[in-house]
Amino acid sequence: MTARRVAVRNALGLHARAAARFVKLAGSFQCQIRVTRGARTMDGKSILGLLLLAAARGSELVISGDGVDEVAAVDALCGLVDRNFEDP
Amino acid sequence: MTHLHGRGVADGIAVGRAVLAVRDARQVRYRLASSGVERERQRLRTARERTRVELEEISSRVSRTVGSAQAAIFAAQLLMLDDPLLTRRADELIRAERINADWALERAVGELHELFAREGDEWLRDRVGDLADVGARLRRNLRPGRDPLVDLVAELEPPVVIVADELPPSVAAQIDWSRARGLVSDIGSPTHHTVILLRSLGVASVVGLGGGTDVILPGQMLALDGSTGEVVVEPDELTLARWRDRAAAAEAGQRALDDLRLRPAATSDGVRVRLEANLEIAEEVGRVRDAGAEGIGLYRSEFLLDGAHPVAETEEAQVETYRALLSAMRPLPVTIRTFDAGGRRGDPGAGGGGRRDRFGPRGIRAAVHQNERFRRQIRALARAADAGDLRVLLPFVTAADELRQVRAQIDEIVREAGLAPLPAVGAMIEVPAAALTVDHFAPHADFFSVGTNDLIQYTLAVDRTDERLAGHYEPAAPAVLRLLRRVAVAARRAGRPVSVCGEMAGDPLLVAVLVGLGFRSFSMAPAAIPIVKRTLALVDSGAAADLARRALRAASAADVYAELEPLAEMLTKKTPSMTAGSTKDS
Repeated sequence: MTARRVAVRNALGLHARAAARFVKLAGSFQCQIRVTRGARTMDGKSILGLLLLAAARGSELVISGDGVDEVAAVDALCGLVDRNFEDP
Repeated sequence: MTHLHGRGVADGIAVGRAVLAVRDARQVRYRLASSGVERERQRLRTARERTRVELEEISSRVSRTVGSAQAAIFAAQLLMLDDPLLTRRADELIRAERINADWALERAVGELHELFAREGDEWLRDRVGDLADVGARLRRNLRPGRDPLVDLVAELEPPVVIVADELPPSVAAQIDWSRARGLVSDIGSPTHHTVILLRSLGVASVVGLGGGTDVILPGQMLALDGSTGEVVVEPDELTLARWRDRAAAAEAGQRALDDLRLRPAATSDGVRVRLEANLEIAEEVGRVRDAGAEGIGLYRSEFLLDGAHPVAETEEAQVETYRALLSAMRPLPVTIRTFDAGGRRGDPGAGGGGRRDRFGPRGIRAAVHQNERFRRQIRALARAADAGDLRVLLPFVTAADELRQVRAQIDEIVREAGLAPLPAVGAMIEVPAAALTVDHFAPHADFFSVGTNDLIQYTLAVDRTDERLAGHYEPAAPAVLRLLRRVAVAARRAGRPVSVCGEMAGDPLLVAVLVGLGFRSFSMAPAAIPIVKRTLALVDSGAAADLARRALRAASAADVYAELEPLAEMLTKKTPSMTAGSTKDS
């Protein structure tokens, strides 16, 4: 399993469009993805789950991957969060 | 084993497994046999693919016409569609709990709703709208273009019993009642349109069970008695055996009454009484003839407005339906009432539900507003007329002048289309204003038909579907009887045939009063015909006239029923099982 901590810094947080980008990217990997905020862990391929994390600006997330391509997956997903979900 | 008690509204005994239907029967719940699990999972997968295609289509259209930012809403919905918390969860529920896909989906969406509702964030709570949207689309795609309950009853192993919060008449009309043997419903009254329909089909029904849909679980065995209102949930072996015996006995009693079928109806002193049948669905015409009816006294054409492709939409389809009906009954008469609809929430065309605006533009008032629909129906009727003995009945007439105008309009429609005039056009007497001025109507009507259900409602100012007023809707109320007497006298003086329809006409006790008031023609549910014949054969016309005179002087409905007691006793002795239920509820 690979896991890494990352901070949400964009203004809107993990809102609908951001969550959609995250889920799309997560879906391109084979491994299982989990996203944790505080006490709550959600499936990283579930847009509803990500929305339920209610991760506003400043939240800390732990992204973990479990499977053959876990390293690449966690890298890519953390990168997306770091780039503020590519929000314009 | 649990005993529940509701109001028995349609006689009969039913034993079968429960199928639940809530929210206008859009939401159905049942338990699968283990062999059915794979089919339900496949149904869910297919629905998901259909929904995906639709959402992709919508998304690309919105992106072209509105803009890509707006299309993002549907991109998010597409992701929800594949969300493990939604479809995978529903799939899990189908497997683990052996429940149907509709129910599994309902539960998965419900769980998510709860999670979202708990969040304080308003923005997040707003996402529930998208979730509900996707959920509803998925559900529709489980059985595309079909009523889920109708579809389900056709594929389940019979016999089943439908347990509903409230079953809409348009759904009830499509169900195969040879498979669904009974109905248990949370709300409803003896005069709810669905109940009228089920009574005419002879389907055992118990209504007003309160929280029946909460207490009864899908797949549980139920036994119900539509005359006493008893419902037994999960009866033990012995009880079940006893109920099956009762069901057999009820059928035997029915057969004995069927022997009366070929005898014409008459009082004990030989006064002929004409008994015709109400017809709810055109396909039921065989049943009408079997019951020994002397014609169709009332065909409520509003049913043609229901469904995904209503017959009423085209003139051709209507002509075909009317012709089939007329030739099936030939040479007996068929009375077709023009659409009595309008003002109901949503679809202005939908027929006779509980929410119809009772004082709105309905009957011939709507005919004036929805001119084209009325014109189409009149043309169709005129084109079908030569297939049998057609009588056209105009509903909800309130003033003689209005009737005169509509008749002129009808003549004009027929003339413009180059068709022969309609053979007979009559007026429905269902508003006190009309009942009080029958003499003014006579020049413009070839016959009259008294619609007692509405006449009682309007006379007593009681909405008969309002549960809170259950005891207030009273056919034997002195005001109603006096009004009916006036109608009988005025029609006779004017030389116009008059017939009584509605629940009251099929009541084995009140029909004796009606004969005493001077009526000689009735239209009722086919199932009521043998019972009414039985009553009439026991009553002398002179005694009926005396009875009516006393009833007209009675100060209350209770006094009227007291007058009817000797007759009730006589009937109970002759046919114990058949009258017990109906005397109580009238």
